[in-house]
Amino acid sequence: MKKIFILLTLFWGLALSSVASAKEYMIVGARPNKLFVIDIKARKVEKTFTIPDSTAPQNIVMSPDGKIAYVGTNHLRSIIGIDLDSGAVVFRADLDYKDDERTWNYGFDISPDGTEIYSYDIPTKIHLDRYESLEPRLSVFKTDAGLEATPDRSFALPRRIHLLITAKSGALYAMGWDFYKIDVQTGKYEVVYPLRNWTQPNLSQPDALAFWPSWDNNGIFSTPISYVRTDMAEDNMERYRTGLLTLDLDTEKFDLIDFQSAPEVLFSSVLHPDRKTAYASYNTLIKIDLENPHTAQRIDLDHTYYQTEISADGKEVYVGGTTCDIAIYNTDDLSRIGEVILPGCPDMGATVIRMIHK
Amino acid sequence: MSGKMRLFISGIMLLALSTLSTPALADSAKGKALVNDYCTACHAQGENGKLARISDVRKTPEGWEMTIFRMQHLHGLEVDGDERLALIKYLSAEYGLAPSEAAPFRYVLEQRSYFVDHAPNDDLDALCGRCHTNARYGLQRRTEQDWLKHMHFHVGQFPSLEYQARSRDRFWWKEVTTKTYKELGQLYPLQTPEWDKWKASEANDPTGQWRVVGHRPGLGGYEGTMTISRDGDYFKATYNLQDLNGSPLSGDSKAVIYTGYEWRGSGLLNDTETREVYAISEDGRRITGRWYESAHYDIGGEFQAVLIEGAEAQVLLKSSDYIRIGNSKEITFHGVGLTGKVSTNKGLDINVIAQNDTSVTVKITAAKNMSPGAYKVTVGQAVAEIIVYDHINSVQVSPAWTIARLGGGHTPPVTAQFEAVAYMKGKDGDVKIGIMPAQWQALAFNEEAEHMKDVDFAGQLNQQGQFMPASAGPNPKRKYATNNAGNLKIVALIKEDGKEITGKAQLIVTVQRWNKPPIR
Repeated sequence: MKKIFILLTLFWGLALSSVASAKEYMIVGARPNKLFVIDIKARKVEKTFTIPDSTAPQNIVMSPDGKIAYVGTNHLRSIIGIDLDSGAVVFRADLDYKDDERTWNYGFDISPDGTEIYSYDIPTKIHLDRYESLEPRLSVFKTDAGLEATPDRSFALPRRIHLLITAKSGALYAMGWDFYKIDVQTGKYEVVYPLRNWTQPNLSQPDALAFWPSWDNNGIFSTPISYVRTDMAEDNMERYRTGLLTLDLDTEKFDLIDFQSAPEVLFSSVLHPDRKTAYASYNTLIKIDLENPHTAQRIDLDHTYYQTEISADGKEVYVGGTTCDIAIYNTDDLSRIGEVILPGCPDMGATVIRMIHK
Repeated sequence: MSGKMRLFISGIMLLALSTLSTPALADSAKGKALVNDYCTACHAQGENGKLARISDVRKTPEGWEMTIFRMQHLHGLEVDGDERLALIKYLSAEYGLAPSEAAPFRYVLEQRSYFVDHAPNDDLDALCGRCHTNARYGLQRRTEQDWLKHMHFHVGQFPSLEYQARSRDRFWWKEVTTKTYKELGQLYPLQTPEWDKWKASEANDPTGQWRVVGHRPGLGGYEGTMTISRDGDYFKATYNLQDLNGSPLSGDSKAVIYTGYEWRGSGLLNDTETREVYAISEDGRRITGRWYESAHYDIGGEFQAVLIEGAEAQVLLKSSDYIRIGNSKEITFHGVGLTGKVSTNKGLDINVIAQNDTSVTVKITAAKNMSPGAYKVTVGQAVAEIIVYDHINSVQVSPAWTIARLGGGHTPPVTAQFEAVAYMKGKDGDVKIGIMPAQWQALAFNEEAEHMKDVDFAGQLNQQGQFMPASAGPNPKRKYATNNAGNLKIVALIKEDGKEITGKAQLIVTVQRWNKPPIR
């Protein structure tokens, strides 16, 4: 055991030291079965993998060492682990592992040590002449479970969760009607940040449907969130508000930053690594000043994009999803500085962007 | 099942078998046998003969068609076209809707491209009506427990529905499984007196001669006759129609009558392939509904037919609804039993030009000293109304709010047809005069539409008030490379004595619809 510990320490030491000198890559998927590794600073697709038996990749979760991409596909019914060096499938969980159940996955993340995948599953029991919608559950898969992985353990969770996030400590957070903190060993959960039941003075129930992992290069989750200032006159358009809801994955502290009214749809956001600014997009790309919360700059995009990401050095903001191009903007002035067009122009749809260093 | 009951049912079966030459009964036996062959493997038959799920619901023919489609595509049912038809006929007869139950929601069966779809309340509109028409569940009857199973079906089939806007802000699942299913069981229960009565009633025989009138939005009225005859298991309708200018509109169709009154036909009118969705009235004397081009559900006509034999005298269509004070014009009344004396209220001068059983053409003169208003014209026992007006006070565009859909690929555009309806001043607000020709113009509805240049991209409005949407897909020429959707103000302009009177409507030109179930 001691030997293993030393080996592991050595390994992590190597891994950590390699981050500093590592190259930054962007990982994206596209319909029906593509996974791309992009050398983003070179604006070049370096590797293209074909995911076997896949329809539409959506969520992507990276192993902490950046070697394996776990891709949610098959209309939320499979999680497939692809080795980014060899392209080999090293993990596969098809969620319909029970004959009389059909199960969808609405979010998954990985433990900080890379040994477990946490999956939020919605199962339906198939009776002969009817369906029975079962209680949603957290399924915990071991990442070494092979190609017919079934859960190591599972626990009941509230309905309507759409995002799982693992904090650096290993605590699992889930966003749904409220933000929950889940003990992955016991399945016990508590509301740590109420949303549907929030008690913010003079604010309506907020609306947010966040799917986008935006914490790879800044260590903080963020999402645009909408609500109404109930203390303002009904004909005052300023009463419709947009804020950024954030969860620091180091300190596990939440924050809500109100920064503008609601002049546009925003799907996703990302904080600059210095956390002084943030960026959000959909049809527009905006730069948000977080020190004096307001929209500092806004540009029209050339088409709709779903996800906003940022480079580790904070110099480039990326928008992707929807079609087959990643558009690249300067974080200082939002000037266009490049793009990457995926080979064959496949449809990224709602696939997410992940940033890794290798 | 008691011994007596068994004997009784055997007796009925014998009776049915001995009368196999009657198509309806032959179909019924075939449909029942098919249900036994194909459905009972999963839908167990209880001791009372009831089939699990199947006997707990009632639906329209389209509803059963969708169920069978789902069974084919998701649950491995394999049936051919004839078998599917026999199944739908049988299920619609055994577990259908009474005419009065389907009546409030016929707009969705008739494949109209615009209609006002009311929900019983705001909760149901958010819970159900945000994805479906409210007609979709209004056209179903279920036991309370089956409504609950229906909720499980929804999340089992479409788990994302809990995440959608107007769903994620409420505890959708808790609501529908504790409250809504009971509410639907009350609103739309399986057992109703209307259905019991209809199921027990004798089927009407529609064969014979029918007087037909109708209206094609943008094109105007049409009239003529229809002959219905039997054609094996089907009915055949032969049309001898013409529009109000005398241009023929003729053809025929082949139809199935489901549930004793739901006429579903397909045929040709002036060599254009058509579909017919009609309802035969409970007394069997009237058929109403809509026909449409099979390739363009948005283009078609209102349809009304009256069985000529034994019909009461009545006017069904006028070549014009109005006359202006000080003018003369010829107006033809179309209907049945129109051989009686033509007379009118005092002041309106009428001369009969031609008259027969099905139409009367008169020359009407509205004297200069007449008061504006509605004037009665009687033809024997038949009564019609003619509006006499002095000035147009306002114009309304009908429909006042509608959508059109972009077209492209395998999905044709969905047009929007507007009509200008003139109104005159009345004592208690404006009084309708009727549809009038107008000049048409499409403008940006608001600042945003102006900014996005919607008028330039969304499509073309012709001078008959028909809007033809543009092509679908991202348009690189537009801001955000967005598609050709738009928000337009549709303006109708009518000139009277040099004065311009306008009316307006709103048109949302939106994206294609990919799934096209028979009930939306």
